[in-house]
Amino acid sequence: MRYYELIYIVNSNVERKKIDQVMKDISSRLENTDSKIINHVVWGKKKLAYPIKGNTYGNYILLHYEGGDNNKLNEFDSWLKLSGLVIRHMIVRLKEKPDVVKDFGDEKTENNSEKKPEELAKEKDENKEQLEKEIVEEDKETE
Amino acid sequence: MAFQTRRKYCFFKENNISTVDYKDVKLLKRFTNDNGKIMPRRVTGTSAKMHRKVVGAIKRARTIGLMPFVDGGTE
Repeated sequence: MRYYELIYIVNSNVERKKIDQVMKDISSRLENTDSKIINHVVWGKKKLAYPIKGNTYGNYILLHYEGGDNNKLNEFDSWLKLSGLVIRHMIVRLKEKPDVVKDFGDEKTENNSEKKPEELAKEKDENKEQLEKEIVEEDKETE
Repeated sequence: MAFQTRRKYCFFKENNISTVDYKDVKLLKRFTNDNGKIMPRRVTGTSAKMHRKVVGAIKRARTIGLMPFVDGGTE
């Protein structure tokens, strides 16, 4: 059996109820393809690296499933694109069976959002320093 | 003049990581420069096998909006 991971982004301005509705829609549609849903969790609201369809923020939702009918799955993929429920989606095939996840970092986004950029900035600086060192060394080598 | 060569090492071998997940942006950021470009293996020192995985993961992360294609650095 093949396992897949579907990740999709829902507009961040809609209410929680609407998100639940979208999740329900997608679940029921996916079940029609004889697929088994393993996980369906909200990853959280995140800032998009670049604006997608005019949105700068998005709610990420993860869905793990065991593939069913291939033709129906292809249909499901194009339905997702045309439905307008999601800003963007991506389906990735997994090599192994995914673990069952509970509450996949829903709290992560709000509590740690202040810390995260700082950590990232720090890391970036460290990376920069390392890189600069390496570049200098390389220059020396070439000389 | 003191001439020191820094040993290049594969980040993944050092930390015993065998898989790269596209959702792990924190890890992937190590392998891009400030403009969001993927850095070459000669700079990062990653093994060829893992570099291919990193590249794949970064491209996936870009598709789904987790990482930038081009980062102007103005935020």
